Amino acid sequence: MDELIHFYLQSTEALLRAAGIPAPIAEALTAEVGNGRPEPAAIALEKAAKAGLLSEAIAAALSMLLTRLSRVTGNVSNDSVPLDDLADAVAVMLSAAELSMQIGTRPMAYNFYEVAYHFGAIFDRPALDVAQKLRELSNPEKVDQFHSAIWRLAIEHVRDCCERRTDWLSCLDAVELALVCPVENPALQADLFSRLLQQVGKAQDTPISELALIVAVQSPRSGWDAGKRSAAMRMVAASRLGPTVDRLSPDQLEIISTAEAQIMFDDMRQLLTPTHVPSPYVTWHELMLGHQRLAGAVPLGRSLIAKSTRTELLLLDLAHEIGHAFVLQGPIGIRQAAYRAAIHYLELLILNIARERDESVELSEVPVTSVLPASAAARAAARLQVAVAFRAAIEQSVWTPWLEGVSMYVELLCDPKEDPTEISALHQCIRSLIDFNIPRNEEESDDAYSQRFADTSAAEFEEFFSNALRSRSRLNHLRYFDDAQGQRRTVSDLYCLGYLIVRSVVSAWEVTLGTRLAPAIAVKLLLNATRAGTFGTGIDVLPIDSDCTLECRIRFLAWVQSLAALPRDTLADFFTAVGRDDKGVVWIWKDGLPQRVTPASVDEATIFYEGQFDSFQRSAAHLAGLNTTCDDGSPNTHVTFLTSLFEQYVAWRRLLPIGRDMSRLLFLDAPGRVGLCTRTYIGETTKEPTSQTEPYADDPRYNHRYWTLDGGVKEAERLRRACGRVGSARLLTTRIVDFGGHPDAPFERANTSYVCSFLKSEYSRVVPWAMDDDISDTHPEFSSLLESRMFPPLRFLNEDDTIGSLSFLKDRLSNAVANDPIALIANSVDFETLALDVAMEASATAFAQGSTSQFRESYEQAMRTTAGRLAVARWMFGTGFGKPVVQEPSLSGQRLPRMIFNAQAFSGITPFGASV
Amino acid sequence: MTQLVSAVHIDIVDAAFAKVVLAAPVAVRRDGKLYKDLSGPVVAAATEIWERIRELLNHAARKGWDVAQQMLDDVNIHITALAEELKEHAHEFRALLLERLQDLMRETFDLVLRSVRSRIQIGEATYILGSVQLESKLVYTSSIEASVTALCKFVGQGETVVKGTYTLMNSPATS
Repeated sequence: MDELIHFYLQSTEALLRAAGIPAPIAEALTAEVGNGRPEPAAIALEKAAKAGLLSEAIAAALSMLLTRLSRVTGNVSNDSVPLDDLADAVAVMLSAAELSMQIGTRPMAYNFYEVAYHFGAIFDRPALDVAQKLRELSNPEKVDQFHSAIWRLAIEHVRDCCERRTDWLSCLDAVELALVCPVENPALQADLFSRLLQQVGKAQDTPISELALIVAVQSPRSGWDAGKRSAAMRMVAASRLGPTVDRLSPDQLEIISTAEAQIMFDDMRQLLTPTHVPSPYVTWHELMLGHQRLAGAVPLGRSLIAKSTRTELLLLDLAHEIGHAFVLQGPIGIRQAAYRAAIHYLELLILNIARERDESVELSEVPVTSVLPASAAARAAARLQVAVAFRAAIEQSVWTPWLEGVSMYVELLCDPKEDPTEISALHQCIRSLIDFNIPRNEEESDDAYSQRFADTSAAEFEEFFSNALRSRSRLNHLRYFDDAQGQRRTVSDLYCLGYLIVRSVVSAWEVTLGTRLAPAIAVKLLLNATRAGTFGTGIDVLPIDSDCTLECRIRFLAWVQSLAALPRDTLADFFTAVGRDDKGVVWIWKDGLPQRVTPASVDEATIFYEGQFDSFQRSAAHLAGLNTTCDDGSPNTHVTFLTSLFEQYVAWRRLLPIGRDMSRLLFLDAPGRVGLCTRTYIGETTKEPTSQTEPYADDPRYNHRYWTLDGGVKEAERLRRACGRVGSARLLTTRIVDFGGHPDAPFERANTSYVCSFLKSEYSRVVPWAMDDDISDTHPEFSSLLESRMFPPLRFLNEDDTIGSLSFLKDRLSNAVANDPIALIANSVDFETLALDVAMEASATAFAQGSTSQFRESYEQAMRTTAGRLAVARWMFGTGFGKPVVQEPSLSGQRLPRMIFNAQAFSGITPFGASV
Repeated sequence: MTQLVSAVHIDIVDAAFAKVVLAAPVAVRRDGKLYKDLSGPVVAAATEIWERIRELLNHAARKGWDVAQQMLDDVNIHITALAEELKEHAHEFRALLLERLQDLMRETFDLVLRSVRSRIQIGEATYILGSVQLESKLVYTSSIEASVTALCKFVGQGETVVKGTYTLMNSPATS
């Protein structure tokens, strides 16, 4: 108690000095207060106020505080302190802390809060409020102060949530942060740990009841009795391994028990985390992939192929969505980046107007405004934004049926085993989401191992994928064709028509070639054409007032017709199998035809692509209303800036993050040894059987990765402190597919993935597929790009809800300008209906020589009833896999329309443009 | 007690099916996204077998129980095959199907009862239906196959006997 009194009196003296009282007087007054005589202080403070040393209000407040402190000192100096006096002492310390904040001395405020905490601890006062203040005010430079504040907050969080039976997640987060931020002073650490253990012991029969055991296992070494810690470890390890736990070495015991405790922790956390389960998607602009099974999980290790009943559907969903992202690497997607760059640039102009030329405010710190500034220039920019966003939305709608059709073809039919000589680029991306365990043989050369790794991993991947595809394809066909008893008719029709068009294009190729094409072969041309052969199909360069919708439809239709009509020689050349040991062919599309890029034509191809890229940049400038040069002929710096924006968007689009998890960083006893526990799948928490040698190999809910930090113990300490500063013991972990093969990436090859973990800007770890080494230091440019993909600068955040949303831009303009023509035009289009119309139009071209009404009648005949839709789905499934057609297509006893479904065609669908 | 014969005809079967919604779709936000918005595997499988059951009951209503029995076996085999095809979702599929079959039984039952006239005019006298009693049994069970069979049998009989008590308006009960 004496120490506490001494401490708060010292702090009082410092507070008086901070308030403006000269040091000798402050010292004397504090001594008087300590002796139970506050009167001299009151007189001195009044004088000081009159002398202008401090305000009268502060003087009065200090005077009152000193009176209370004097009383408290008298009370708590007694041998036995009544509870009421202790409670009074807490109240006075809290007042002192608040007054310290008012005077502006945070360290003294911290001190008084700390004293309040200690007085409260004597009578077990709940102190979440005080602990939160301590955490807020503690000094990161004083490690013990900073970390003990973290511990106190954890202790109080547990107490609070067990009492109130709520806020469990905050409690778990606080506890795990404490576990990675030990206090250096062993006595203090032991005290804090025992208090935490006491609180978590009270959590029985709550959703966090396992916390006591977890805390015991992950306790700081200095914080607890080594024997008890070891016993807790054995208990947890035994829950997984059974009696064989006795055979574990101390290191094995530590790793297994720490990991198992973390699994218990994360399972608990998972059950408490509110989940929003969206359907799988890929966004057009940012190219972000979402999936309910990966909302808080990352495919790592063998998680995607470890258990067929759990991940087959996920794998096929990923094939569909990565298929989208893969083709959007081409002009269709790059145009979207150009649109976004133009809109972003225009937004910066608007923000510049909104901040009223106050250049002290950084533009990047100004939030997007939902109200336009009252300025003609701002309205003009907003009008341009709507025009650009409108084009983006039109292109999205027009291309959606085709893109969905291609992705359905990939998901429903493309069995990689059907391609005997090579793995497609898309399947390569998906394979790189799986970490294969293929040990190197003794004396095996790099080349031999590399070849064996490629062959073995491809075979294992293909086997699993093939089984998944074949066993799920029939029902997946039904899922697309089911329109929920008419409630989702438009969406279902969009998919079905897109798929029909794609199938009829393949059918046309088959007729041209005179043979059936395995879907895994045909898809290579579908993907290549959609990704690389769509230059010139956009509406980015059209004048603002042109009929963009019509022009976009015309261009799409012409493109798909030309694709279906590729000549025999071209098709034969494209489909010529690549030898197992040969390098894959690169194709360039010119005049609507794919041409091989040979060593002799590499330069020409490069010039072609650079030219195309330049044209996107020019169109972005044109859309933003900029001239590329100024009146004096010098380059327009605005265009230079816009170009950098565009390049930034394109660079990010080349990187596709798949899944994200806040993964717990685990610190082990071995010097510098750390680990990461990442969840790999959302939706199942059942434990799997295990073995002693690889206890987690068969349990793919979590993936554990361990490594030794380069800086050893020091680096581990730095990382612990960084966790404290950041306020989290978790690293954002994701797996990023590099579609482009970035020049600074460790591998030239594209379509490979990197497992990335970031502790904000404090620490990053980037590990390439099939490797164990961190490349963040050796490939800094690439690593920093990966990091910026996950943590984009502030001004790029939440664009989906602001400048990435046509509705937002339209509404903002309409609120500023009534009946603006551009907003009216944008309002006049229903984009889902547009997509359906395009799908009908293209299908009519494919099946009814352009007569939409004739096609629609035939289509309706087949699809108007649920029975009809199911019959068509079964037909598409059966013929898609090339099963022999034993009877004419029938629909409840009636024939399916011959216009579309043709039993004589190689794959059961009338070839594009060959309707009867 | 008046004994009435109520026909379980094809319209009743269709009306009962129209009342039962297999599963409501989830609304998704499509703006700016390439969404994979489609039925779940369980719903797709349930839709397929639902169509078979509809065909079966229509067949039973048209041709009678004896003829429909042959088709019933195929439907039950199909249910088993779908459950196998669904793998990890088999349990969910069976639960959904059973629930909807029970909904269908309830609707069918209600429609049959509703087909009994609630008020009869004989000359100047008006009689009001006071109580009804259905002679046929429609057993609710936890077995999908038994439920399908019960429904099929109920519909396949073509008619069911309903006993009703009509009361002369403003007079003691008459039977």
